[in-house]
Amino acid sequence: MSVIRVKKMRLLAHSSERGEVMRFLTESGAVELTPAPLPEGMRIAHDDPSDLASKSAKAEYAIYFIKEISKYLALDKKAKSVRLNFKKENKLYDLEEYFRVKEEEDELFAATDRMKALMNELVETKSRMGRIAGEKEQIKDYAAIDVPFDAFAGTARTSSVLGLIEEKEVEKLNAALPDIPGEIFVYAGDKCAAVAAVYLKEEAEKVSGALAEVGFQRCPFTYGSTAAERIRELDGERDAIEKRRREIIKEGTEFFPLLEKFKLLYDAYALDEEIAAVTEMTPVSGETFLLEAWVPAAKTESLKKTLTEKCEYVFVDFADPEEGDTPPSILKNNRFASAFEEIVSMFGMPGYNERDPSIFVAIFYFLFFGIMISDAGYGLLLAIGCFLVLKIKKPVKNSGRMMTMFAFCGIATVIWGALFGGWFSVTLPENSFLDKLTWFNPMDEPLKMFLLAIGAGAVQMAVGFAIKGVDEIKAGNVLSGICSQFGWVILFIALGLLFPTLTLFLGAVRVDVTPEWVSVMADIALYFAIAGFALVVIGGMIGKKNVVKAIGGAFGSIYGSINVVSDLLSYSRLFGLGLTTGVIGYVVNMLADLIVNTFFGGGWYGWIVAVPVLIIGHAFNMSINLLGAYVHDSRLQYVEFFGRFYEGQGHAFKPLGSSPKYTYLNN
Amino acid sequence: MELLGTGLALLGAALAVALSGTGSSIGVGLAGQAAAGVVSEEPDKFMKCLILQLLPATQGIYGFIVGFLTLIKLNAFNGFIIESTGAFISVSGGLGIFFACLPMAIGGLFSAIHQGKVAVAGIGLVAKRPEESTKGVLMTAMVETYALLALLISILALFIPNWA
Repeated sequence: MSVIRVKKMRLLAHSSERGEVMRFLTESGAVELTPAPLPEGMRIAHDDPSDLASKSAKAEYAIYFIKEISKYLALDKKAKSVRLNFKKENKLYDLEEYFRVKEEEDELFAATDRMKALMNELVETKSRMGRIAGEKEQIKDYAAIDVPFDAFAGTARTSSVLGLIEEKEVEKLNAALPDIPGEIFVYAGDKCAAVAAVYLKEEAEKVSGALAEVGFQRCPFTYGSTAAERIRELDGERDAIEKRRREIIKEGTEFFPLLEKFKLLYDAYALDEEIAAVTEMTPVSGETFLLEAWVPAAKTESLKKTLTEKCEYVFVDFADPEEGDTPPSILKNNRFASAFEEIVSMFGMPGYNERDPSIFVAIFYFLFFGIMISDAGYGLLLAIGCFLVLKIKKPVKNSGRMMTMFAFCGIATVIWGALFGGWFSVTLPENSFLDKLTWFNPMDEPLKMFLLAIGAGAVQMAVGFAIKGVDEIKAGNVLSGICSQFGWVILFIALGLLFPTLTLFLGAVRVDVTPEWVSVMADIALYFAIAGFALVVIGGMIGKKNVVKAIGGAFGSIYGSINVVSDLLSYSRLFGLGLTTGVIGYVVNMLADLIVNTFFGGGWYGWIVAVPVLIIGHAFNMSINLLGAYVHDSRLQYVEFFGRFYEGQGHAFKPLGSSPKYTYLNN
Repeated sequence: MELLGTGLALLGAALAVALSGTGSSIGVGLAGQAAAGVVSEEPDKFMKCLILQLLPATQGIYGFIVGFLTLIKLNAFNGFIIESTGAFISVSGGLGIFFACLPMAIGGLFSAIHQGKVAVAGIGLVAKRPEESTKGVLMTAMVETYALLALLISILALFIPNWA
């Protein structure tokens, strides 16, 4: 329910125990370092972490290499595929395990060097394959000539040339043949035809002139073998390279079992770097060092105990945050609300002295999500799916928070879906159990749905104003809190009182005779509205020095009310998105019905086509609406709700040991 | 001429579906080009880019809903006979429905295109600072407000008056 209190720890210790101290601090998972003020006589030592950086780069390269090899393997259809996890390991590791893997670093880095060599060779094979393919492509047009290339060298009195012309020129050349001296041979090919010419030297000019006319291009090759032989040679070379390539990939796969170790190794250096960065924040003098950090108040005792018991020369002291400090924010909520903390932290953590809005966000996000999806069938799938994943994968630390949130949202969707009678958009049989659960169907009564959406929005905004009002009164601005904030709450109450009238006026509910109480409520609403509006106007004038400024302030709050109204209308997205799900689902069902009854005449075999249509259609509908609900629900919290009272300028608690990228440190 | 009203209403439905669909396809298309560029460099960002790319798709769906609701209103699946009057919809009724469809048609067309442009910028943001992708999604979703308002008015205008 709140941002928990933290204490500032001041620790003075002997340098010989630095490693030990840092280790306990990391293991506690409850210490966020903050730069300590530099006392006189102490200095800041500078560490050079570039060695660590190059080591972690090596570990990173190994992970990259394994990823690349697994990609090559996936391309090879014959090889059996291996599933490797390149994301964060869903497992907690003790600090010991990071130390242990560092002891193996020589072997691991030897493996990395081998990987680099293999990768270079792999790249090399690729370019050689490219060259071979290129040469084969050029040479294949000469395949019909069974004389070696270097045979076209000429004799004392004759010359000979070999080359290519384009296929479409062949006819032209054939027509000109009788006029060309010497012997011309044409070998038809695919796109090009090979042309060999043998002629007397004195006729060279004539021949080359005639050949130039058909675009003759001289052959650049002078191999001692025929084209066919050369192609066989190249094929042999290609096969050898291909074989080598397979060997490299096979050798690469032998590194697969090391993946987890490399991940640990990478993170071990990340932790080292984190601790090295601490050096910049801790003044030293002679043989002591000073360190300041934020520690949750509840953890101070146990931390002090561990440190004083395990280390000899340590002095620890805890103090409350002072004015001007910016302590980190740690949220503490029950299981339901903490699932929605992700939504809050995405906007910004509450400041240390700010209210934690998680519980309100949780309630409204939960409700709105259900209205937006509005189909109990989808809700069931979502809730069961998320709970199953949570049960099977058991995400460690906070990584399953989002999943828990969606599981809760699934439950909300089941509730609202049942109220709206949405079960995969199937028309419910009359008087069936599910039909009796139904309150109203948004597709039949869109106006009711619209009013529900706006009503839900009014409640959330009123709560937002009330929170701000309470906060202002607590902060001492009693008058402005009551006028500017609770004035709006009263206005929203007026809107609530007016609701029955609105419902009847817009025709969302039809009655023959308007009941008396409706108009009575409308009358009361009028007085509430006047009172609320007056308060808001007065609120705008509070604290203004002269009459002109006060009038300006009053107009300011009247103008500001336009924003409130537009924010309220923004809640119509609940209505739009809620209806969308129903309509698309309905269309999918209609399509299936059309397939079975119209195309296949009601036969059972129609279902063979209809079932995939149903599955794909509903899967599409569900996913697009989940995305929409997630985005728009967040927006309603951020803009319409947080806009009323929440700043979110705090920073999240980031304890030592939170740097690992591929693993979770057990602390 | 008894079908003129029905024709007008259908024209409205057609515009709502076609124009907002056009807008969405332009928006999604723009975002898709940007997304492909980012994914070609960093395949891991595929999901983040896909979410952004999909956001301008909703206008097409809203237009489709308005079109579909118009068909229901016209009783299109049972021979276009309005139940309350037992006849085809009148010319004035058809014209009314036609105008009711316009906010969605026009609003959907333009908001989807502009939302697509914001989505492109959001994808640029994902390329540079992937941890901020949610903010890109939210900025993109801001544009959609106006498509939602258009949808709202189109549906209310379809359903509140007793078109016959």
